[in-house]
Amino acid sequence: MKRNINIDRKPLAKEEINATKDFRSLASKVGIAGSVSPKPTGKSTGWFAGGIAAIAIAAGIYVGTKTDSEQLVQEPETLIAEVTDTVSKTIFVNPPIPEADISNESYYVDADNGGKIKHHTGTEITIPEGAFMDEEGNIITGKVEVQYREFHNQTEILLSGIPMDYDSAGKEQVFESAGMMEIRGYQDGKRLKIVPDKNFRICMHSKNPDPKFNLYYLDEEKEEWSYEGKDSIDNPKTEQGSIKDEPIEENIAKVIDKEEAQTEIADAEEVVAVIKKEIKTLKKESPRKPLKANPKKKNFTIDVKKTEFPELVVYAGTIFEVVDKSDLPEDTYSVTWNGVELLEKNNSYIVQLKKGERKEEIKVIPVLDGKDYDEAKKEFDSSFTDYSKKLTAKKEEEKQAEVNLSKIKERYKKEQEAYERRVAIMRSKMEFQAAARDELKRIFNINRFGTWNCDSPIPYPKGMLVLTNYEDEETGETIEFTKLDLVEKTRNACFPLDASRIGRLPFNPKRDNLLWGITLDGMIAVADTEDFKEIEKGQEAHTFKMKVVDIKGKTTSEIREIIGG
Amino acid sequence: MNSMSITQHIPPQAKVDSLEESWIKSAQQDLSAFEKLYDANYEAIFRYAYQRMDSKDDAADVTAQVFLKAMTNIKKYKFMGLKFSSWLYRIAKSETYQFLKNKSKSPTINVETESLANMAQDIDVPIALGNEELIAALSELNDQELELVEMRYFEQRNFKEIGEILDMTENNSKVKTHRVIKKLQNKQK
Repeated sequence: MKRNINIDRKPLAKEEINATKDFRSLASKVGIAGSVSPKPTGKSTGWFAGGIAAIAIAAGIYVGTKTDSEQLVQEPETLIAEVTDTVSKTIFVNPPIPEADISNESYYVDADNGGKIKHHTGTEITIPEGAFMDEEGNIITGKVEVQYREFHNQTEILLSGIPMDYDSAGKEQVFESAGMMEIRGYQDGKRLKIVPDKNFRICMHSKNPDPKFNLYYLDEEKEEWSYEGKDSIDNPKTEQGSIKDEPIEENIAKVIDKEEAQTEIADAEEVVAVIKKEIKTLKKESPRKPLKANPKKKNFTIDVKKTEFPELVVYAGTIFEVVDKSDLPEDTYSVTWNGVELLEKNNSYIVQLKKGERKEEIKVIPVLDGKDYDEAKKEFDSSFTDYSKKLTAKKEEEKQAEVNLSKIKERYKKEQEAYERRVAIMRSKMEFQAAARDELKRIFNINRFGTWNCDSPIPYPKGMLVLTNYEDEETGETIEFTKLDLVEKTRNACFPLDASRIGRLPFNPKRDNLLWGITLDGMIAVADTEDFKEIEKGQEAHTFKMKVVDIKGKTTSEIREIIGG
Repeated sequence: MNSMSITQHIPPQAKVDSLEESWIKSAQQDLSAFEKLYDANYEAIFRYAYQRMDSKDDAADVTAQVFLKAMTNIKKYKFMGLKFSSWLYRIAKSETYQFLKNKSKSPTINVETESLANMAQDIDVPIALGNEELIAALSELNDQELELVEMRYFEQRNFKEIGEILDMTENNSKVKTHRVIKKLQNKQK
C-alpha cells in the first residue's frame, strides 16, 4: 500500500490543537444545547447523525403504538416535552422500523378468577386468581388487558429493537435466543404489576429444544438482562434425528419423472398405431383367390382397364360370371347392346348393358376358366404364401408392440403407486414433525411483566477482522448507518455493530453471515452471504456493496422479507 | 421453578477512574455533560488522527467525527474493563481509515528520529545505517503491523492499552508486536 512518509514533522502545540475544538458545533448536530432536531441532518454529519433525535422519534412512535390498534404520531418536540420519562426509558428499546415491529395481541382476563391465554403460536399462559396489582400495590379486580408478543427469529429480534447484548464478568456477549416474549398487563390504560407469589406460568412455543438456554429478564430500569435461572422443556417424542423438513417436491423427482413417463407411453402407443395401419394396408393388398368358372352359368368377357380395376387384371383371362340368372333379361343375347360397362357397386361387380335409354344391370363375379384358372391358382398360391408370411409377421409385430405398451404402462402405474405411497408416508411424517415442533414448549414462571428470553450468551464472532467500508451497490456512494447488525443465519443471534466495530468488522468466515442496517435516510441496507464470501483469508480491508431498499410504502411482510436476506 | 435474580457486578480488575466514570454516567443521562469527556480526550484523539495523516484540517475533521459518534453512542458504552479513551481510539481508528478511503488519500507514517532510535535498538540495527532501510521496511508493513509499531514506538503506549484499542489481549498485542520486530529484523539482514 502506498503511504506518505514524514520524518521529524514539526509537532503541533497543544494550543494549536485546542484551537480546533468546537463542542457547541458538535452539540448542535446531535440536537442538544436548547433545540431538538426532528430528523437526521444528513450524511455530512456522520454515522449516527441526528441519531439521538431519530431514536427519540422512534421511541415516541414505539410508545404510541404499544397498543395494537391505532398509530399515534406526535410532533417530536411535543413528544419529548410530554413524555421525557418514557423516552428515557424506552430509548433503551428502539425498534428501527416501527411499522414492521411485531405487534402485540390483546387478551382479556378476569383478574379475580385468573385464566388461561392461548396464543396463536401455541404458547399458553396460565394466570392465577388475584394476580394483578397496580403500581401502588393495590389488588386489581375485574377485567384486565394482557398484551403479549413473541420473537422467534433474527428478523423479529432485529425489528423489536430489544438490545440483545449481555455483559458477563466483563465479557461482551450477545444472546442466541430460543424464544423471547414480552408480556404486560393494563387496566384502563394503566400499567399493572404481578402480585408477589402469584407467578404466571408460561408454556412458550419454541423451535429449539436445546437445554443450554437459560432464562433472562430485561430490566428496563438498569437497562440490562438479568439471569433468572433455567426453564424446562416439554418436547413431545419425535423420530430419531433432528426435526427436518423434507420437501415433497424433491422426492417426487427421485421417484418418477411424469413427463418422461408420458413421452414413453405416447411413443409406444404410436408404434402400435403405425403397425395397425400397416396391417390394414397389407390386407387391402391381399391377393384375390381366383374363382373357377361354373360351366352351368352364363358369363361375360369384358376388356377391363387396368387403371379402373387393377385387382381384376392380376390374372389373365378373367371373365365375369352371372351370379343369378334371373338378373339376366330374357332378350340379353338377342339385343345388340350399344354399351357394356363394368361397374363396382356396394362391393359387387355389375355389368351394365345399355341400349338407348334402356339400362340393364347384372351382378357378376370375376372367374377364370380352364388353363387360365390353373395358372391363376398357381400364382395365387405363391402370392398368398408371401402375403400370409407378411401378415403374420406384421401381426406378431403388432402383438409385441402392444405387449411393450402394456409393460410400460404397468411400470409407470407401479411407480406412480409407489410414489403416492411415499408421498403419503412423507406427508404423514411431516405433519407429525410439524405437530411435534408446534408442541415444543419452554416452560417457566414469571413474577413480573416485561420481556423474558430463553437465551444462551455467545461472544462476538472471531475468525476474521477486516477494516470495512460500505457502499450502495447501485450508486457507489458511501453508506452511513443509524444501525448496523451482523447476523449469523444459522443462529438466532444478531451482533449489533457499534461505532468501534462498524469500521472493523469481526466475523466468522465459516458461518453464513448477513449484514443488515438502517441508513441515515431511513432505508434498509443489506449485504448477504455472497458478499462475505468475496472476502479472502488474510484480507485486511473490504468494501461491502450493499443493496439499499426504500421501505416507504412497503408492507410489514415485505420489509421482513427484505431483512430476512 | 427457579426465579432468582442476579445483577451483574463489575469485576474488580476493571475499575475505572471514578471521575471519568461519573462523567460518563452523567453524559449517558444528559448529553450536554459530554463536554467534560470531550475536553479531557480531545487532544489525544486529535494527535492519534494527525499521526496518521498529513493535514491538520483533516485531523480536525476526523476528530470531530469521532466525538460525534461517541456522543451518539454514549449510552452503549459499558464499563467492562475497557477504558473510555480506548473506546474512543477504536472509533478513531475506524474513522481515520474511512476518511482516507473516502478522500482517496494515502495514509501517512509520521516518524521521529528519536522513535526510530528506540525501535532500532529493539531490532538491533545500528542507527546510522538503519534509518532509511528501516523507514522503507515500515512502509511495507501491513495496516495492523504498522499500527502496532506506531502505538508502541511512536506513541509510547503500553501493551495493555494497545490490546484494548486493537481489541486483543495484552499478551496478544505483545506477541504480535514482537513478530513485527522480527520481520523488520529479517529485512535488515
